[in-house]
This record gives sequence, C-alpha cells and structure tokens, in this order.
Amino acid sequence: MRLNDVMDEVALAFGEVTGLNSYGWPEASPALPAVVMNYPEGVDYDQTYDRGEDTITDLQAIVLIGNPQDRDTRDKAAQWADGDGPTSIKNFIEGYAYTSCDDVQVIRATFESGPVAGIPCLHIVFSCNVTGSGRD
Amino acid sequence: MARKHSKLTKILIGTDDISQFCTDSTCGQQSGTEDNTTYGKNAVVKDGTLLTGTFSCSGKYDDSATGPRAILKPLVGTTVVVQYRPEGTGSGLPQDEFSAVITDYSETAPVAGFRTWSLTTEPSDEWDSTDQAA
Repeated sequence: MRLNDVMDEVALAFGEVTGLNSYGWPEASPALPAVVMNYPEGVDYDQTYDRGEDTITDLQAIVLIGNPQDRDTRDKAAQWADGDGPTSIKNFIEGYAYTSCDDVQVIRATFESGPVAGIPCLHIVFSCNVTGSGRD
Repeated sequence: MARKHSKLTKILIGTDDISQFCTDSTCGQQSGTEDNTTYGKNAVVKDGTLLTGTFSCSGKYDDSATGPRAILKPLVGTTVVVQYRPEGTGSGLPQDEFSAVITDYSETAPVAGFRTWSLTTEPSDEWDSTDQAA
C-alpha cells in the first residue's frame, strides 16, 4: 500500500460527488468547490505478522466549499457531511472499490473556516483510517 | 544473542500460511507430573510424566479465498499439522511442528473496529522442534 496511490484513489472517489473538483494532493489554488487530499497523521506499520497489514491514520480529505456566511455553503456542507444518503461523502468514500488498499473508514468530519486564495471559505475535514497490505 | 520481534512470526496450518492475518499467538509445551513421595521424605517428590501442549492464534478477519474464515473454519474438529516459526522462515531458524485438533474457530465483531477471529487447538502426540532445514 503506497500513500500516493491511496490519496489519488480517495480523490477519485470524490469524482462521484456532483460539483466537486478533486485533487489527490494538497493543491494550493484549487477551483472551488473542491476536495484536496492532505497528508495523514502517520502510518502504523506491522498491524499483523509478516508485513500483512499497515494502517494509514487520519488521512485528511479537505472539502473546500465557499463563503461560510452563505446559505448555499451551509446547504452544501449539510448534504455532504450527512452520515448517510445519496449525497453523503462518507458513503462515497467508504463505498468505493479500492485497489490501492483494502478499506477506507471515514471516522470524523470537522468544520473549519479560513481563506483560500484570499477568499473566505468553509472547510470540512474528513478524517479517514486506511487499511491495506504492508507489502507493495 | 538478540531480541526478536513478534512480527517475524510465521504460522502454517496444514499447508496454508496464515501469518499475514495474525496479530497474536501462544504456543507452549507442558508436562504432567506424578507424585512419587515415599515414607521418610520431608518434601514432596515429583517426576515428569507425559508432555502435552497448547496452541492458539488470532488476528484480523479477511474475506479473501486464503483468509482465515475460508481456511480455518472448515477445519474445526479435524486434526492438522501446525508449523510455528517464532523467527520466521529460513534455514536454521527454530520451528515447532506438531499435530493438533482444531477445537474452536470464533469471530468477534466490535462496532467501532475491524472484525477479528481466533483459533484454539489441542496439540496431540509428540512435537518436532528441530530447526528448519535448508
């Protein structure tokens, strides 16, 4: 399991979300609304014997929506952060057929605000734990 | 002399290598004892009798055709050959090889985590603990 392959594939899973531009890396100037993949907290090696399993912990998919004070931003955030249903990003990520890893679990969504290219922007940070083979 | 990490452990059940699904294992040999104390002694005298053993392992569930459920569950109630290699596979490395009756295969499903499995056996007859051949 290689980190770049996983980041690219999670970004691909976002391709099924209507209206989102996806980047498999922490793109500095994304076209909004967008998802950019950020680096994980770390990699826990040797979760089973014989290099059977590693875990990537707290891999971040950051969804950048728009002005936090706009009603449209709130509505988009609500539908994407929904834990279930046809617009749920958790569903899109966990339901994707991954080849770079065995499993991706979305464990948390947190909300932050900060400028993107000087424009106020709401961020939803989806934190994921990724499990896969310890071997390439 | 050097310490050896548990991650190197190899476990073969029959001809199937299940190491990559394992997180824990216990492999031990024990002896029975017989009380041979006679009159005139001030302490109990014991001698060893027959050897026996214990072997169990557990780990992460996997749905593949070579995963623990596919391989181990059908073996419950049968006798298999177990090869336990505490330092991995390689010429001259230690190994315990023995027959064992598979007495239990169980799965556990915690709501906030991955499905796990465990295997319990009762080793039978004598063990071969010679190092691995080239």
